[in-house]
Amino acid sequence: MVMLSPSLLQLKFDPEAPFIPLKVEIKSRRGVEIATLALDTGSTYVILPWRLATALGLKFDPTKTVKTTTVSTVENSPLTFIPQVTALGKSVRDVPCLIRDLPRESGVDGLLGLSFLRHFKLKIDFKKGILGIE
Amino acid sequence: MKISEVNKKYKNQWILAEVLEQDELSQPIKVKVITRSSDRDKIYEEIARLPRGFRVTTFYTGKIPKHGYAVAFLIAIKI
Repeated sequence: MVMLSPSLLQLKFDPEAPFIPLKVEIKSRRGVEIATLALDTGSTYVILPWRLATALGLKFDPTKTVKTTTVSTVENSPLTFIPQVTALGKSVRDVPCLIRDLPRESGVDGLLGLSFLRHFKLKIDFKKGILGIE
Repeated sequence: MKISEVNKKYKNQWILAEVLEQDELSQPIKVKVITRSSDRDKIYEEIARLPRGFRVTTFYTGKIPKHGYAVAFLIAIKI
């Protein structure tokens, strides 16, 4: 980990890895879970799986869903709000989150999408393998 | 235990652990393993049984993704 300034914390990552996994604090009314989410600028929302969202006590209305499309399917997914999300030293409150399971083979809990990332300037240096937000 | 020690001791397992120490980037440094399973859903179900006020982490100790896999995450949303 490299700290350049109080406003910028940077994380070293493997630029040859198939995706960038991040440790993300998901803070709910029940407690804090540090999940492994894949950085995904192609995802509109933060994505968490059903059983984790339920275990954290996130509130959602199963009748109010958002139609989501992947490369293979179209499904209806509930939308909820995470009280606080912290990644790379930065926190955002009331983050919109879709509830949807990723395949177990992915090895991650979910995705860190634009509903969190759009609050920041995202810097990714693939040559040096350094990632930071400010 | 350090994360590296957990990865070495419990290969190819999903881990639920209490966070004892973490850095400024929310990366757990030292943890206490609560439970482990090859089934990710069982880990999440265990979180639901924890008393309020927990600080835990979940992670997979195997290779992400497995050899022979690539990943393509894409969520397009129609509102």
